[in-house]
Amino acid sequence: MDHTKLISDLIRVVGQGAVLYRPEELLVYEADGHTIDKAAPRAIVLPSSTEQVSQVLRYLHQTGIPFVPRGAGTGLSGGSLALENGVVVCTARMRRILEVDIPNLRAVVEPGVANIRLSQEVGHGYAYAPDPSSQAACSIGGNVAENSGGPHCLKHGFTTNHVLGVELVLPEGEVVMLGGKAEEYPGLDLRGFVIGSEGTLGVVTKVMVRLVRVPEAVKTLLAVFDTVDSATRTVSDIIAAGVIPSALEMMDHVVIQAVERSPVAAGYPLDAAAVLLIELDGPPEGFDWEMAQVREICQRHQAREVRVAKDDKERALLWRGRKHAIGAVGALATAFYTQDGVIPRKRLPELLALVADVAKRYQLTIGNVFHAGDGNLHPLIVYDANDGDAPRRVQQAGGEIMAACVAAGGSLSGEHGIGLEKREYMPLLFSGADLAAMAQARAAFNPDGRCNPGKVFPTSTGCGEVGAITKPGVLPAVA
Amino acid sequence: MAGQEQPRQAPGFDQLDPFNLRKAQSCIHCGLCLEHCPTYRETGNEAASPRGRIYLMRAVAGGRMGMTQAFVDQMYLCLDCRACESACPSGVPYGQLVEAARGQIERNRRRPWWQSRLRQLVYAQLLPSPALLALAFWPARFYLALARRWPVERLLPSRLRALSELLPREIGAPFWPAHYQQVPAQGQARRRLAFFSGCVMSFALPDVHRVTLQVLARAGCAVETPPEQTCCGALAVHAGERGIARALARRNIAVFEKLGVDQVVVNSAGCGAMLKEYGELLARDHQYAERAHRFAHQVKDVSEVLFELPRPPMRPLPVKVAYDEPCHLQHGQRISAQPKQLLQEVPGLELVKLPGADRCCGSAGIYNLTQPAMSQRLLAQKVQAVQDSGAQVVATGNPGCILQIRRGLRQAGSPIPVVHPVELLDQAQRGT
Amino acid sequence: MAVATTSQLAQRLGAIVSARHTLADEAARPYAIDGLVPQAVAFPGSVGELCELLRLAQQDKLAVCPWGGGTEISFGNLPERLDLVIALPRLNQLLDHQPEDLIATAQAGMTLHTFQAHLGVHNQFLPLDPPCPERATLGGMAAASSSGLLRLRYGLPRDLIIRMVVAGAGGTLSASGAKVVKNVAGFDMAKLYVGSLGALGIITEMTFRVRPRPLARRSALARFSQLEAARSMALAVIHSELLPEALEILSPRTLGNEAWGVLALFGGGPEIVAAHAKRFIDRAGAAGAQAAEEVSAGELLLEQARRPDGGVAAVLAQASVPLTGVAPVLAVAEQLGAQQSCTIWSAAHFGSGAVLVAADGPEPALGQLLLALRQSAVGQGGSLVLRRAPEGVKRQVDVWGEVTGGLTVMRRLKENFDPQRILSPGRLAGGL
Repeated sequence: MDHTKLISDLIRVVGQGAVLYRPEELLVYEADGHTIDKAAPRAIVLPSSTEQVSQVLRYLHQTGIPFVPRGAGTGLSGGSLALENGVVVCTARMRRILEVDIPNLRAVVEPGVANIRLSQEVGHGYAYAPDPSSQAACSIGGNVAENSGGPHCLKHGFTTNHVLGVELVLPEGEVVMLGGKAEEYPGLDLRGFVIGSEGTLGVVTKVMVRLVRVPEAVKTLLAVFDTVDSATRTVSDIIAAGVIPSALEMMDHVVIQAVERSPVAAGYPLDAAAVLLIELDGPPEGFDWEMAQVREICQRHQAREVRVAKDDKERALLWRGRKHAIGAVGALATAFYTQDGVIPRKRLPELLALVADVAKRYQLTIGNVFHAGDGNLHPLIVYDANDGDAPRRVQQAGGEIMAACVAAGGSLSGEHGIGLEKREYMPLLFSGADLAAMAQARAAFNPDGRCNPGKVFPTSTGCGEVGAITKPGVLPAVA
Repeated sequence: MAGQEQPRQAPGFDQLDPFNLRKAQSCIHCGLCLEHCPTYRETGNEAASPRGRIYLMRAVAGGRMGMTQAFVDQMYLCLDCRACESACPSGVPYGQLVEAARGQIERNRRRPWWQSRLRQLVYAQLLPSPALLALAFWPARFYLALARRWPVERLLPSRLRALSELLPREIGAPFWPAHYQQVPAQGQARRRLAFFSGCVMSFALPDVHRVTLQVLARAGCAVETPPEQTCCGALAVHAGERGIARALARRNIAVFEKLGVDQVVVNSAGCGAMLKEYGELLARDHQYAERAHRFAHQVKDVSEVLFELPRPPMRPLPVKVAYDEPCHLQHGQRISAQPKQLLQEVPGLELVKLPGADRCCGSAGIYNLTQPAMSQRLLAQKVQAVQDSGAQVVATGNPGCILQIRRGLRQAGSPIPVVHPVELLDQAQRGT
Repeated sequence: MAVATTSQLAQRLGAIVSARHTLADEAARPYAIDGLVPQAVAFPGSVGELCELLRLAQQDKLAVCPWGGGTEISFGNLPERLDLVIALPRLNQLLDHQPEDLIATAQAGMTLHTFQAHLGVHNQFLPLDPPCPERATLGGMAAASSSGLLRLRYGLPRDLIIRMVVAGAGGTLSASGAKVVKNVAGFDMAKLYVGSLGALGIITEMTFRVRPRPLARRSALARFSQLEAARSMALAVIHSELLPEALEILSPRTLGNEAWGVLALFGGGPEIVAAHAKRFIDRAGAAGAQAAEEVSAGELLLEQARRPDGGVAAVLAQASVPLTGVAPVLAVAEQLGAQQSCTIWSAAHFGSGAVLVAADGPEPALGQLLLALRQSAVGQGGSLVLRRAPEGVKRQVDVWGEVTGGLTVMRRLKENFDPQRILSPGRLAGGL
């Protein structure tokens, strides 16, 4: 279709200034938080209302143009890249908090609202629980697409447990309300299916969330270890002991070094092999027993030190280091790639040993900062963007780690999603029949596959066969 | 002023003042800056965000595109407020990058002769020269006298009107450094300081300077104000005129070095941030690099200095104050707690919560003149927040912000005054 | 239909599962659904046999309904057709329990009670407590999305199932999820099957997130003369620092008393539980409760909250509303009971917004009552479904009520998964 006509038609729907089409602007949208793969869209639309989204999708349906929903573009699996030269439908201008209903413990927001803003604006002792590490920027709509977790989902649950309703614009333009303020509605739980569908079923335009009371009290501990092994064994023992911390995070030596040298230094001991950030929350009456358990387990595994944050300020400092760890590690080199495999928690020691071995064999620096309590690894591979061979080595190393996670009885992704990045690895985890059922379900929403094509499902068919993932970025013609 | 001229055709940056690609590559594209960027929040356009702009710079540096008009537009739509720097986990020095990119733009594009001449005139001659500034402010006073009686403002062309709206309604006598070369400490002298008075502020907000010297004196500081000093160069750097800025920096360094004081105190956040970056600005100047670093380390915001010194007695000042964080104090210098703490210690003074206090008011140097539309949008939000906060006074430590917020409140018909925090300290200390 | 007679069908089924595990004719009568007797009932002993049965059904276009413990078999629209009931009690193996990882996997035909017994060996439990755990199977509980009181703290079946294997219409097995507590790989297919009453496939195996048993449990009951006082007590508890595992409002008839009851169950460390139970009682006193005390026979009361009528009433309706809608629906239920001369037992899982209303009376009156009650629930922003009702009532009142969003997609899902409409045809909302 004629490009000029496409742009002018879109402008007619959303207005001048809400359609981006200059080559420089397209270039900026060729990647999200995952930068290995690149694909520039043919246009970006920034609608301001459900009605506009619906009109845009109707138009794209009539003209047969593929599209991809995008929130803040902080995703780490390339899920918001516009493959097949599609149009980006970005919710960055839909950023109103529509309703805060404290008596019912609910809020209704537009998808472009940044995760952290919701809790900040609700206040008064209430919050929205899921807190992905990118919460300062990531959008609630993006969280819905990815079923985002975060450090505290260990105890408090994921996006799917806290989003009770979504307004969805189907790829053909129809607006449907799935779920609502109540917990259950008659019919199939399409709400639950849409959450975590990685933007392949339509564009979410409203989100109804559960609000929770902020815990009565919180204790944050930093446990310092001289070996990675003792730290990981501590993790599985804590879970096995029946203590459910609200967060249980681990950082290894590479990460500690990076954090402490960054602007977000948190006071982690520089010579430690690993630290665990352990948080307990709830009624203060319960802390004695839980603290005693945690201390005892840490000591059993030769923790060098168990430090308890004495006030909110110290607590915030310990967390600041963790929440910014990915950025700090990323700054060690000119490019980075993070993985997201999950394993049963008791397998942590052997998997981390494998990661170390992979790093050695591929001559890469790999830092580990992850949600240990969930068994959700985040090996951060840093490399030199200017080294032509590095991306290949990085992806091979990543592939090996992913395969090991699945072999250990785990999964490819705990929270970042499959997106474009991991799609070819799906056959490691799912059979052809499994994937066929998923594709059938997708087709009920997205019959012609125009909504976010090329994501989640593998392009190769063979089991375990991993195709070349990197697609050269479509470089827009720039004068 | 980020004009409509044709960019130069050859792609890529020049090597005259090489763009630091390594620093740009320390951006990992995580996006944590997005919500902190005023222009991204307003437009939803990622090209108008820090990571988007860095992506464009990298594309130019890598030869993927040239310095096209869209590139130029985005570099100048940036407020250079540096809120993104505070949010950045990788420590990307965004301000330096965008300023370097503007330098590249200015070196490599043709402006109409009158524009180049005008820029030269303003940044290299007018701002650095108190005499010329005084001359320039003379008609301004006359005009203001006129404007107090007749609605002449409405007759001005839009850019000039914006400028006019920024002028304070009453301007005191200019602050001439020569008149304040030595201000002795009151009581025991604890510190010897030099005062950086800058350019426009001596004319637009001269009383803030005078009050600053008194407050410093009461805190036990002997303060020297060298008359040979000149404009800090911040406005020139923001406009991409790095050559001019370097010349100004060299002169300031030479002037202040001679005094042999421990610290150079400054009450303008914008100037302070610039002075603290002289090391970067002159990094490739063999003669000055080290001296610039040393000088930069001596520079302190007035709130930093006062915070470290014992407080003089104060009488109650029962007033509700909204403190607005100047970007170049909060992000540029990472100073936020000290001014608030100083105000909080004033008996009777209540600091009210100002939502969005950490967000740019749209002043940003001369941004309010070059990008009036975006500036207005940001200002409107600030004014609304101030009015909703229940504050009786707004305090903020940067002349641009003071003038900008004053203008916004005045336009909204609000009587709420906007002052520099030292003015409130002074009032409490004098007990009036 | 390829199979001409029931005995021929029984024979072919016998060839798959052996004759011993097949019922036909009169023997199939106990497996009638809403009065519709199937031609035959088959009890597969393996997943392979189950798949084979489904292949046979597809070949012969036999309408199939799965049957777990039968405790919720009345839930759903009147079946369009019914040829074959596939009963799953023989698929009852514990496949995996990783106590140190808090996950367990079992086949769908295992009863909840047995599953809990396995978990209990390691002092763990599945925090789902629908009525009749001795008979209710895991698969049935998932397919009917049954829950109990504990959903307040731990969620619904949809929140606790992390992996699911399903046999589809053609007998093809497909899995989704993984045996880890956190996972986003692939679509969350289990969300579609939970509550689907077998309309998209028959669940064969599930992995659950399990929990350590609370170290201690206490329950406390507060009695109020008025519903309004009970409501405001319950709402205050939900918004307080107290963390009950369950919080119920029981109607006077359910409680067997003149008063409305607010029942709280606390579970966790002994200190927390004791402190919270005490604070609950203190609060109740302050809120004007007639009486408030710990109850030792808590389990009995909890059972009343799960089954207010003890399973005797003809109709059991469940409303799902936002919190503030709970008391209005309870009040309307009482009112309608009086108007329609029906006997009403009601209870609400208050914090979850689930209201159970059991009713007995003449069918036309029940029909009137349910329609009005549904109107009330919908007016509160929720919905009302009939979890149990005689055919006569089902003919008057739609089991599900209106599906407000996504019916088109649900229809397409049904078409894609079961093009021949042989899986629980008609039973699901919207006549799917």
